[in-house]
Order: sequence, then C-alpha cells, then structure tokens
Amino acid sequence: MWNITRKLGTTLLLISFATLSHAENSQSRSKDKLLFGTLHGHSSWSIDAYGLGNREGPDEAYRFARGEEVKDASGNPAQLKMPLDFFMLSDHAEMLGTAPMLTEKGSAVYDTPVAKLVQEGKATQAFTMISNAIISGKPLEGLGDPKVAKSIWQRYVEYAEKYNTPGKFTTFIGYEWTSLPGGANMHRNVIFKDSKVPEAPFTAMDSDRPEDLWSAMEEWRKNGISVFAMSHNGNASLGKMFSFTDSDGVFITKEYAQRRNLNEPLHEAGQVKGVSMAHPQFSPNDEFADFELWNYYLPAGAPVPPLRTNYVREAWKMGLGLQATVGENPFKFGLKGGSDTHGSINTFEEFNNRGNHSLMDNTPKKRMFAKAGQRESVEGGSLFLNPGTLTGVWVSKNERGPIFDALQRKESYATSGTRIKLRMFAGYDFSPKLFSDPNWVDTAYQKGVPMGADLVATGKPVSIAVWAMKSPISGNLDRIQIIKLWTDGIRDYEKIYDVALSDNRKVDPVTGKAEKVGNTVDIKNASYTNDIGAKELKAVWQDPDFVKGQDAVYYVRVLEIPTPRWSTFDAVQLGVEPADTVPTTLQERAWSSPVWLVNK
Amino acid sequence: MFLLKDPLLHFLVIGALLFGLYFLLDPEAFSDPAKIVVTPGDITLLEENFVRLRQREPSPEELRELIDNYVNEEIYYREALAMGLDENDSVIRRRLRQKMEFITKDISNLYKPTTAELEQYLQNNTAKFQRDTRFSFRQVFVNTDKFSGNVSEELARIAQRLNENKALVESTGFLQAEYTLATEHEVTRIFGEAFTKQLFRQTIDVWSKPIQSQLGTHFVKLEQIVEGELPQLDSIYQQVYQEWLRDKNQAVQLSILGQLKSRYEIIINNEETSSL
Repeated sequence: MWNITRKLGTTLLLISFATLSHAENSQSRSKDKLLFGTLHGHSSWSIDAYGLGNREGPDEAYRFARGEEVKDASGNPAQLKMPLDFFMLSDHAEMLGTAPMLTEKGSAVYDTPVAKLVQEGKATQAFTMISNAIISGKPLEGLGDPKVAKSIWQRYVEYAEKYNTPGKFTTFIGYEWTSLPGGANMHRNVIFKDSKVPEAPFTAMDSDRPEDLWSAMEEWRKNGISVFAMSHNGNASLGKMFSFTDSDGVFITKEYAQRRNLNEPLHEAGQVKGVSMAHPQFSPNDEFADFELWNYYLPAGAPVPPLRTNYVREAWKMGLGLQATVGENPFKFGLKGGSDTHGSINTFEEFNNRGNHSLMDNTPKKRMFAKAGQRESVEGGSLFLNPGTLTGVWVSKNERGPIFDALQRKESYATSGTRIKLRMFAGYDFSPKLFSDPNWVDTAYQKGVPMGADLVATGKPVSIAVWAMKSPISGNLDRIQIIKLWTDGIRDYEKIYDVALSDNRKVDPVTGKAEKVGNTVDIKNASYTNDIGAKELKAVWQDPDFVKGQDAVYYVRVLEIPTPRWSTFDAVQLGVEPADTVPTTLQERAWSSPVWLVNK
Repeated sequence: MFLLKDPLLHFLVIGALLFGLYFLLDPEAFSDPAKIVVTPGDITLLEENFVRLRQREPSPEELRELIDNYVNEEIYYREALAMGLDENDSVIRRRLRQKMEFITKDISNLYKPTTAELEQYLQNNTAKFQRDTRFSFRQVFVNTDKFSGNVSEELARIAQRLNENKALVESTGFLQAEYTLATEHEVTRIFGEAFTKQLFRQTIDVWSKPIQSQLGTHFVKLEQIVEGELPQLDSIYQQVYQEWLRDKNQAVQLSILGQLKSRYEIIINNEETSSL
C-alpha cells in the first residue's frame, strides 16, 4: 500500500512538471531573448580553490560574471568581452566558506591541523588532506560544525541575493554536492529557483549516494522549495555516471529511472576538465568527436581508459535499451554548460584565457610548462584543460523563474564557450518554407516540440527544423549536423547527417561526408579570418532513414570554422612554438538538448 | 578646512586611533620581560578555543595542561624573539602582514556614510549607476553569403525597396525586424559592439546605408533614442552603499599603506633596475 502511494506521489509530481512545461507556450515565443550563462564556478569559499591559492571570494566571482573588470590571480585586470546574463556560483558545500577562516585568528577553525598547513604555506599538502576528507566522507577535525555551516550558508545565500538584478543579470542560489566515491566523480550542482532555500545544504558528508541527494530534494519540494540537480564530468566518473546500477550495485529499476529524471534533468556538456559528449572510441566515424577530451582519475591525475558509461551520447543510446528493459529511460537528460573554474573568474573565450586554477595556471608560462592541472607528473598538464562551456536558453525575461523553468524542461543547449544562436524543433508537418514566416518560432512550437521534449510517434517520418547564427565575437559557421541515435535491442547505433553546409558544399553521396570547410588560422599570430564559413545556416530536414515503430534520439551539433585554441594565443604571447601535445586550432560548437521520439 | 570634509580623512583619523590603541593596549608592550602573568581573560580564551574544537568544557586537569602549555609557549616565544628567530622567517612575516591587512579591512565598517555623502558618490560615479540608453529601431539583416552576383548592386536594390516602403523577401530569423526600447546592453549582446556604435550615429526615421556588424550587413531605421537617466538615490540606495563601501575599503587600505610607507626610506639596490 505504501509503495502504491509513493508511486502515485511520483506520478503526481510528474504531472505537475508536465503542466509547468507549457507555461511559456501560452504567449508568443518569437520575441524570446537568448541568454547565456554558467551554472558552475568556485570562489575562495570552496576549500579546494582556497588550497590552490585563490583568495577572491563571491564578490569578485559575481562582479566578473556581470561584466566588471576585476583582478585575475596574477593581479592583472580581467574582463569578459561579453558579460554573462545569468550565473550560479557553485561553491563546494562541504566545509563551505571555512577556508578563508583558516588564517583568521580566533575563528572556529584556526587551530585545526589543515589550517596550520595553510598558514605555513603548504597548499599542496592542505589540498591533499581536503580531497581525502571529501573522498572518505569524513569532515576534517573542527571543520564540520553544523552551527558554523548554517551561518556560513546564510552569508553565502545573501551574496546571490545581493547580485541578482532581474532583467539584466540573474543569479541563482546553488552549490556543489561533491560526491567522490572511490575517486569517481559523481558531482552534482544543486540549483534553487528562488529565495526559498533550505536552512543548510545537503552535502556529500551527509551522504555520497545520489539517491540520498534526491531524497533530500524531494523532502525540500514538499516544503515548497523548487530545486533540482545537474551532474557533471561524466568523463571523470570511472564509468559510474551513466551506469546500469544504483549506488548499491543493484540493476536499476523503473522507480530509480523516474526519480533520476525528475531530480537530474541536465548534464554538463563540458567544462575546464574536459568535454563529456562523445569519444572517438565509441564513435569511430565521427571525425569531430575528438574534442577537448580529458580522461583522468581525478584525485591522482592518472590517465584512465575511456568507458562508455562516461559519455553523454552513449548514455542517450543506452537509455533507449533500458526503456525496454526496466520500463523507463533513466537517461532523459538535457544539456547545460559551465566552467568549474576554481579561480573565481573564468573567461570562456579562447582569446582571453586566464586559467581556472588560480596560482596553478595563472600565467601563460605555467599553463604551458608547469607540472600542474591534475596531471602533476607531466609538464604542461594544464594544456589539456580548456576555458569551459556556456548554457544557452530562450526565455521571455531575464529572471530566475523563466530561466529555471526552461532548464527544468531541458529546453537549453550548451556551447564550447561561444555565443552561437540556436533553435531546434522536431515534428511532422514543418513546411520547407517554414523559415520564410516571420513568426516561424511560434509556428514551430504549434506544429512540433522544442529541444529537450518528447515527440510522440505517429508513424510519419520525423522532421527537424534547425536554425543557427554565428556568435558576434567568434568565427563563422562550418555546418549544422543532426545526430540520430537508436537501438535494435542488441546493438546501439548512431548516424550523423550534415544538414546545412557553408560555402556551397554538398555531401558526397558515396562517402556520406562533406569536404572540410578549410582553415584560415595563422598560427604565428593566433589570428583567423571569416573569409570562409557562413553567418547563418538553417534547414528543415526529414529523416531519410526513418523506421516506423522505432524509438530514437535526435540532437543537433553546430560547428564553427577553425579558430586558434587558447594555448596558441599563449604560445604567441611567450614567443615559442605551440605545444605539440594539443591541437593548435579547434572548431567551437553548440550542442542542443535532444528530442526523444517515443512510441507509446 | 576643505580636507576635514573629506570622509576619507575620517577613516584615516579612525585608523590612526585604532593603530595607536592597538599598540598601546598590546599587553606585551608594557610587561616585565622576566614576569609571565596569565590573566583571567587569557584563561577564558584558552577555554573557549578548547570548547570550539572539542564541543565540550575542559576538565580541571585539561585546563591546567592548557595553562601550562600557554606558559611554555610564552617562554619559548619571548626567548625566540630575544634570539631574533622571528627575522627572515617568511611564515611569521606573512602572518603579521595578514594581521595588519585584517585590521585595515575592518576600519571601513566603523564608519557609516551620510545620505549626503552617498548622494555625492552617486553624482561622482554616474557611469556606474546610469540606466542604459534605450533604442527603438527597425532592422533588416542581409545575408551576403547568399549573393552570387554583385553584392553592392544587391544592397542598392534592397535600399531602394526599403525607401519605397516595399515588402522584403529577407527573413528576420533570430534578429527581429523591430526592437522597441531595447537597452544598449541587450543590443550589444545580440548584434555585437560594432553595431551599437553605429546605431548611436543614425539619423532618426531614415533608413541607414548598409552597416557592417560582427554578424554581417544590416539596414537600420532608428526611431527613438532615450538617454538612460540617473536613478534617484532612494531607489538604488543599497547598490550605491555597496559600491561606496567597496571603493572606500580599497582606498583606505591603499592610503594607510601609503602613510606607513612614508615613514620609511626605501632603497632598492638592484643594478638592473637602477640602470633603467
């Protein structure tokens, strides 16, 4: 009986989310604003960031994000070329804010062993001690006092409130739940819709099992708190992020899948420690899959082989099979971006990279040659990092409510830090002339579904309408691709379609590929021209390989023309040859959240 | 007289007082070097630290140990100072510097500005608080990628149609045909800086010549430009106060450092530097 009631409870919750997902649809969406922001970054209030030498607190993080000039870790002025529209500071909840108190005499933690290490300037040892505490789930002596934690959490919340400026710059109250069972990255960022937040965060010290974090959030919702979590770094999860089993190693159930979808609607496409979208080993025919990969065991920085259950594209494929096995697809998540900077500031811009780990990578020289950046055994370990990804959402207003709702219904996309404008819809009756209609966005909403949604199968072939425009501060566009994923119950499949190409290129019918767009990058000067590529690309595409009755996942990838990688700018500044361990150019990109074709 | 009105001077006076008091009240400054006195205040502090760490009161025996330890530490401390062991120790130097910085950081919290001071600050920093300029304009984005022929001829054809108020085939896509009272911030985010700069230069109610942005080519017709007003202090009091506080904190720290610096003659003997 209890079980039935609980299931009914879940169903009711799901229904209320479904109602909510149509809230924006009641008005015209043609005049939506496209907003870019990040939902992941750390200030000196994160104990590991402090250990890395970061002394800049929430003030600097918020000010930099909203476009002000602040000092970087070297003391040089730093400013974003384009301010962010929304920002969530996500300091680690474990021992939150206690780090700046480590050197504050008379503070509650001043006399603890880790404080002594910091006071003696032994940052690396302090960092190791802190990491071990988080992995083992045992707070460091004197740093877990619940009273201290509560009052610090209140101060932390006040910062977000102080900088929230509806209409111009939206901040979210949020934090990182830092679960590292056995060194596997199971981190989740928790986001609150508004000022209604719990008295204290639920931390990985309380429990490092995602199921327990979900329970905490389900309790909070009963008290009127709107909240969900977003996972990140599948690439560093040792195969645990998209595993078939729960935290006890038991094969997942329908209830697990439902709770996961409800509590974790988004995964971070990529961040400073690598992109988690796809891996060439599992997508050998995708020549663009090898992009800012990072396969290391987080605590030791040791390389690890890639695992299928680390990657988003594989999870989306496997979810289709699990739908048949357990009766619910546990991996119906969309995408968001973030940086995970531990230096309070983060630029997202290759031409303006300041590093993300404070004193570990604050200068071009350190980024190129220092033994740092989670690969302490290797010179130039920081070269494998990148300036992070951004989240894009189309909303009526730059305010907490509309942004939170869009994220919750997965109507969001991620970019590799660039500002590509992107809309994507799936349906059946899109006219080939859809884009000639000035109100095409409203028409597309009426006749189809946006990214992040389910498209109920009718037996007719799926159409996808996609439009992309270049960023004002980056390169032209190379192509729009639609990536289709499906399963036959035994094997999983993927197929990539080039649906719009710049410079009058065509797909070769024999190879199924288009020729490369070219490369205008001048490595010696770290510059490029927009003589190739397109300002905008669009397509109304119909799936030529549609199979009636088959579930599928469709998502969009938009590629820019090659531009210099951040490490090439550093090499020019230092007057040396670029490193040969990383590419000199890259194709910045956008990834949409998918649409799921569902046969009922 | 003018100087006395400067709020910054108030800080400096408070700062100087605080420093004076700090050094005066420092018990070590007037204690007998051969006598160690443990005051009730010292003992309370030891007890409090113990409670904070262990979450319980110390037993009488533990308290005795704490006091013994405190006395031993004091003896070692004095002997070390006498032997000059504090010199050239980077940890000690850094700690002392932090303590000084901590004191100067606190000073600004001792002083609350008057409304008149904040009003003055607002007037002196209009750029920081001024609302954005707003624009109403019509816009046509021309994707020149698609032109196979002569681009300038095509543009001239579009210009002519616009001036004759004829319908255009150009689709609006992501860039709207019309923006009403969009802020400078919004326009720059959508179109890039180059576009906004040119928008400022347009004549009202006239279709522009083709203008280049970081996205491509546009025609615009500026309909209205509304200068951003400076809000009343009341409506942004907290914001002004926060900015004022931040500025003052920085100014006071710098100025105290400057004052202290002026007490020293600083000689840097570095051949490379001096030859510059």
